[in-house]
Amino acid sequence: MPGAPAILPYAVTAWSVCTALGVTTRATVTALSEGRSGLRPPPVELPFETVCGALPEALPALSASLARFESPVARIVARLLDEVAPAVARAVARHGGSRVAVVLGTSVGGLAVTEEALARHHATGVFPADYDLHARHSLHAAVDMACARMAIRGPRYAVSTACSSSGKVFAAAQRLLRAGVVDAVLVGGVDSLCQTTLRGFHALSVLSPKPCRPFGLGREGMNLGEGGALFLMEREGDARALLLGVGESADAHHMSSPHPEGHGAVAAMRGALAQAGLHPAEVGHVNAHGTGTAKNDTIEARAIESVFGAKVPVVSTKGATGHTLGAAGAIEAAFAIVALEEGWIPPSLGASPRDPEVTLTVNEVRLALRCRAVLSNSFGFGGSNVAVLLGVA
Amino acid sequence: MRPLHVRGVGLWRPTPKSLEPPCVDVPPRLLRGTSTVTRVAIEVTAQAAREGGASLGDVPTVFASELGELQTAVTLLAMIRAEGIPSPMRFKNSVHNAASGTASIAWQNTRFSTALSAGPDLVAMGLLEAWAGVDLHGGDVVVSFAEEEIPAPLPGHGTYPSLGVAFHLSTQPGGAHPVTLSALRLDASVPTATYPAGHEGDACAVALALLDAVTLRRPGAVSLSLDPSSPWCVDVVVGGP
Repeated sequence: MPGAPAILPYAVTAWSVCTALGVTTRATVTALSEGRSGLRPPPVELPFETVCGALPEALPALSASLARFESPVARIVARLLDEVAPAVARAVARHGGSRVAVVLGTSVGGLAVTEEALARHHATGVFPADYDLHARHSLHAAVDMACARMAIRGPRYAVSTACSSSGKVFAAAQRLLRAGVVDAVLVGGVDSLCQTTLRGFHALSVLSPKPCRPFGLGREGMNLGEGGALFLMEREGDARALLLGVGESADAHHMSSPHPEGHGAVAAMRGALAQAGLHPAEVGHVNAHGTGTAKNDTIEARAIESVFGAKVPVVSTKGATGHTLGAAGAIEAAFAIVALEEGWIPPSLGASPRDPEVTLTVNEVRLALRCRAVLSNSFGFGGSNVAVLLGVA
Repeated sequence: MRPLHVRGVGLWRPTPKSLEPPCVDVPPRLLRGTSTVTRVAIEVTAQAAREGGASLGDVPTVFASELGELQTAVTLLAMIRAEGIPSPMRFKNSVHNAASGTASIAWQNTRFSTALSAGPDLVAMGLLEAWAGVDLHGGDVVVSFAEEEIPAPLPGHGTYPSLGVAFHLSTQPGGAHPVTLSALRLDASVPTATYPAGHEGDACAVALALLDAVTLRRPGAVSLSLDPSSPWCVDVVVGGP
């Protein structure tokens, strides 16, 4: 039941996003606003048809002092840091490096580096001289790169719970701030395209050969994407948005299929509302997980409707970015903040014509909408669910 | 953060007779296609929960591992090289939270569960994630640290064996160990941990020092990090606060 929040809201004082729509925040948000899609042919050779949310341009190599961390995900984090570095530096100066944490969500980390290294080893019998399992492959490598670049000496770890990873980092940050362990947390998520995920999801028969159509009639599956988003969360400061609540749950049902009744999804959404002390009617918009797979979209739609009713405007932005796996929660939290800051929600690309089983209000055009709170869902393998509730500052 | 009681612990390492943990608490069909590190993490989590008196169906869990599902990743890449497409069963078990998902399904546990990775301060970060959760929600948590042998042909193959350690922590006293943990902190005055013999390169092995302090009831500060620039430690208090 709504009432007093179970935890204080924390300020999001800076953020940045990098997707197939554009490698800068401005480019991504402009393209999102214009209803463009970043889906394009895959950047690697594959024995099947699909399209991907690949970044539209190559990102620069890391600086020499950070070169030991070189990987596609580290480059994305470096690009994101370019935009939030001044705010992060101010937080480090204000609180001290040991009072700032970095918690990033990722599903594959530097796996693309190991794919290349093993291919080289297979061809030549030796690994690349600069291949380093810990600094380049590991899930925490990009976290360590961010800490090294920003002189952060507080807690540092990667949350890796598949596609819920970078939704769950908001809960981790909330707990660290509440416990008084730190005064600021750099959270976010990042993932890059790689052969393992492209071919793995194809093996599961959930990859669409065409641009994905979340909630659309006759949808054929998902498209993978890459990118990331970062957020500086502080106990206090000039907030651009507030983290109101996070709900986390486990389906306890199946490794790669959601609970058929959406029990875990409902529990996560209700958990976020309860933590924020909000009534469902106070949430103005939902950014759905909405991957474009037949079963998952239908189950999520029913779950959203059971919590919020059928009238709340719902969007899946994966028709624009692709499914960025461990980065999806962070990227879609960034889109939630865009809705709160700028007063519009993007079109749900591919949703028309609608699947008649989806009786939600799925938004199909850019819509001017002022809302006080926006909820973003992310659901992952292992039945890991998270709902992140953000509000106006 | 308030002190936490250590109600139970878990430990698994390979022996000549047993290269894989038994995982008797998980139906064999759910273990099909899972890796060594998944099984090790589940085994020690179940041991710690059992010793501390927690219900496997109702205890929050934190699974920490630096490199996680590395054997599965290498297996998938070999499949891709040979056949173009990997096994879907192995692929769905390649996620870092494979142990978390498998355990939650096996135990019908819908409570909080997460999986994380960190470097030389892996053990401190796992404890921190678990502790901050209990500090907010109260109750119990089982935090596990698990790593598997680095698979061939990757660099580092054979440098350390698989290992798992777990702690059942609670706001309530009881269980087998009259020990509390308090003051998880950065403290440069506590000498940084070193790798136990035979575990060089395995950040998870730092948990063995904490396990010793708990089971041998040895009070004092225990270093949880191998990195002198990140000197995390925790106080072990015998007899409770």
